[in-house]
Amino acid sequence: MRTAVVLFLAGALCAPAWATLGQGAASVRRDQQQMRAKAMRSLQRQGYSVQQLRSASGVQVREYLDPDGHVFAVAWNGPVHPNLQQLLGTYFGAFKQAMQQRTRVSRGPVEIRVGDMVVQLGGHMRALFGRAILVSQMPANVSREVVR
Amino acid sequence: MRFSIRQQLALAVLFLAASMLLTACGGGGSSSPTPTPGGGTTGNNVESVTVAPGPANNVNTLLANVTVCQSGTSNCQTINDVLVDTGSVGLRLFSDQVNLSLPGESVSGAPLAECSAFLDSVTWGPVVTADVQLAGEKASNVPIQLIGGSNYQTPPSSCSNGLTNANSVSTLGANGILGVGLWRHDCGAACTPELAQVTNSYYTCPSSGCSSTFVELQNQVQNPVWLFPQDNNGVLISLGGVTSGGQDTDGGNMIFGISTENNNQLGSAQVFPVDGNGNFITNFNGQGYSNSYLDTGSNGLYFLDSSTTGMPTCSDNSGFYCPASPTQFTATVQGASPSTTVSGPINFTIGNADSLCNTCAALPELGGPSPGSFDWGLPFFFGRNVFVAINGTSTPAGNGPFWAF
Repeated sequence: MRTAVVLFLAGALCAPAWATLGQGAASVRRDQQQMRAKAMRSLQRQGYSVQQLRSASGVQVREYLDPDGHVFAVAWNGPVHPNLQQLLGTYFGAFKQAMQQRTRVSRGPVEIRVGDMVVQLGGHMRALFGRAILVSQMPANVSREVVR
Repeated sequence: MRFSIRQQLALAVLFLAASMLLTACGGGGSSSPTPTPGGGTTGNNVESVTVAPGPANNVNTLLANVTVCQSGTSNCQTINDVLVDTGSVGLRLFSDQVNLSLPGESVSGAPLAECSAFLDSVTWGPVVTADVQLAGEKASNVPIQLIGGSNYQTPPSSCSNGLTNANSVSTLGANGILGVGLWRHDCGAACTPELAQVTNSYYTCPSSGCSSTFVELQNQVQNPVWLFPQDNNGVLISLGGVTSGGQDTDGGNMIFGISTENNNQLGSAQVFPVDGNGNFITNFNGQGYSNSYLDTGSNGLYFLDSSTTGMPTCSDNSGFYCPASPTQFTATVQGASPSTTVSGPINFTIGNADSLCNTCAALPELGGPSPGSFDWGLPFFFGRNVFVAINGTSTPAGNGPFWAF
């Protein structure tokens, strides 16, 4: 079932090969290329792993992979926003639309929920941070708090 | 318990009368040179500020009037209701509201523009220079940003990332932003050609199109306060207290300089140094959160998440908390490592955002989530004197950057 979902998403992408959230481990490498990022390191954790990248624009990005190698969350921090189109992949359109449709403008940290995805933005000038999580794809026994 | 508008007004009048009585009885005497929060003080370095709905009819919006002039001339214009923001650096005004002809900065003969990243939006437009006057203080030749304008309708996609293009009064929430935060420059060394660490912030815009560039410090958008001839080491935000149910408005002052005049003495304020990102530590329920900051530009107290605070977010907007009844919390703050000075307890209350007074512009109990972080927004400043010391400047309590309150 999961394979079918991933295949569907991959099919919906076509070209260019935007990647990441909800995608396989290969998308991490594509992200590296697209963001001209340097891979910093890979960390093995209980029930998941983390790939750390540093984009050429100066943002530190962390991609969270389940044991099957699917990206279930991304987190970042830096002086500017990361390439969200790259990081959110097929979910970017829904995120952008939700941002535009916010009725009550909260001048402060933002939480956007679109379907299965939660995006949270915070911080201030020079020190922005954020994360995007696919809630149903969190591995069992892994807390959202590890995504930071 | 909730107050009706009439009761709130009565309370406010009572409070005002009481504070006037205090002043009349010598409350403004010399024993305590730092003013009562929001209290009466005057001088060249005192800029009046208000919490009012403003042009975008918003809540918890700290506003001031800003005068800009063509450099070296008396050709000036005052822009009302500009957001006072300790979370950013630099003055940003709307291109279509500024009637002056302000000279643009250029890089290699092409106009210099900036795409400034705020947490949920960007401001896009050229960098120009102007004299900036606040109260009786004047900074000369300050690089500021003009937002929008004919050639700057749409920010580069390398910067916008699907975030809001804050190019209107309604999307920005005010007639501009006056960033009086911890830094002299808005980006700093990371955006200079020497370090070249941050791209997609400054852009050079020849007729062929804009591309990311690096900029020397003196050409970056800057905190006008550090360019004042005096009272230039920081600001004191001094706002009156707000009753728990909210008020129509709140008043106070932005006082320039730290311990440079009788009216801006640090006194007994505690100093909290920040890390390289401008953050300090908040201790809450036995945990330390290093991603903590003070920000008049945030309109609520944004902290942690539902599972940590026990408060649900609102069903119509998950960006705010909606507890069943007002919920009290206590935290302490301390400076970034290796500082160990810990504040006394900071008590705060979060109300249900859906049932807060909907005619009030000042709401002390508005809050929302910010996972792993404490964003002490404008409600923190109600009834306090809060000092912002600018990096690379000196005060009797040491060099900036730091917060003190």
